[in-house]
Amino acid sequence: MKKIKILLANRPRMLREVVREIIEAQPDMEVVGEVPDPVELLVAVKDTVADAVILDLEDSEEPGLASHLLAGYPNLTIVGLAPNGKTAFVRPGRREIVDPTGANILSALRQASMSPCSSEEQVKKGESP
Amino acid sequence: MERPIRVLIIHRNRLFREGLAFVLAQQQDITVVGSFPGAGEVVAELVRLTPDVILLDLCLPGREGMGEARLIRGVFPEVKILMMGVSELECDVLACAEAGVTGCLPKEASLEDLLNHIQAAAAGEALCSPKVAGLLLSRVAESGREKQLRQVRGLPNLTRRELEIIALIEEGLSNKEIAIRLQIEVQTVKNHIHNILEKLQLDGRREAARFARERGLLVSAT
Repeated sequence: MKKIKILLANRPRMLREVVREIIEAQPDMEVVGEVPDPVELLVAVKDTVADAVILDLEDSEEPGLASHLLAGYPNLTIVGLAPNGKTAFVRPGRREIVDPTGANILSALRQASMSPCSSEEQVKKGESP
Repeated sequence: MERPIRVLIIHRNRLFREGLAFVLAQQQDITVVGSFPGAGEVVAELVRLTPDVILLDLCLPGREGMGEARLIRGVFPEVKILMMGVSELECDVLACAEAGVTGCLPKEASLEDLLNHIQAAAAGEALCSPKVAGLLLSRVAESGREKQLRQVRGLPNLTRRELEIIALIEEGLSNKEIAIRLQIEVQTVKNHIHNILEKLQLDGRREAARFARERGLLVSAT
């Protein structure tokens, strides 16, 4: 079974580790990397060929980071966690606000993984920057 | 086999609460007895839930974490409170100690750190970094020197916090303003002032400030 590859870049450390534990308990998902500093995110996405990234909403809204992620990997699922801990949003292709429960985030990751082209396939097709 | 450590989680971040409860439930020596977004709902449930250790987030709006720690300790003094998200600044460390917190975890603490702290707290112990230990020991030593000095000079045994409050009264701050400046509850300020007036055998806060200034107490407090 092909697992959904997820890169974790949210903070602080304990929340990132908690999210990792939730994901690694899923048979259809795996954590392929952790990025404590969002500056390293672009390299990590390319190196790990992640299908999804979980990061802080304020980082995902940062113009440079978001545009680079989307330009290089338009089908990458991005889950942004709001600083108040009350919402998360998921894309590709759309901005969807969900209650930040583990179940909602896992469900959104699974739905997004049914998209036609994951980042791994993009790399294989030579479409990554 | 010893009974599991009963842990209660108080944290505004729902994902963190859920995930942490999930992780802790997998530990054989821990039972999660409840998970709440704030302490207001918790206090009424403490007798029923009987937690051994409470995990409390400092980073709540208006720094409510410290006030909630005092609230909980007032109702349930035996419970051990671990405050999460605490910096190693002296003011934060001392505020936690004064609030009766058992242990503090910094923002970048790991899950493993948390598990170690829970086990230590349940055993009546406290884990802290060398820096925090140094801060606390220095403060205890300083308090001891000040107490000795006051005794030699025949002065009333006012604590450092009481002297801080008298100094702020002399600056003209209200109780509410003092509470904000020292990052404590207004009721705590009132309690301190009550103790000050009792020790000095005076009737008013202004008299207390004048008394302390005339006897050179405020010079050493600032």
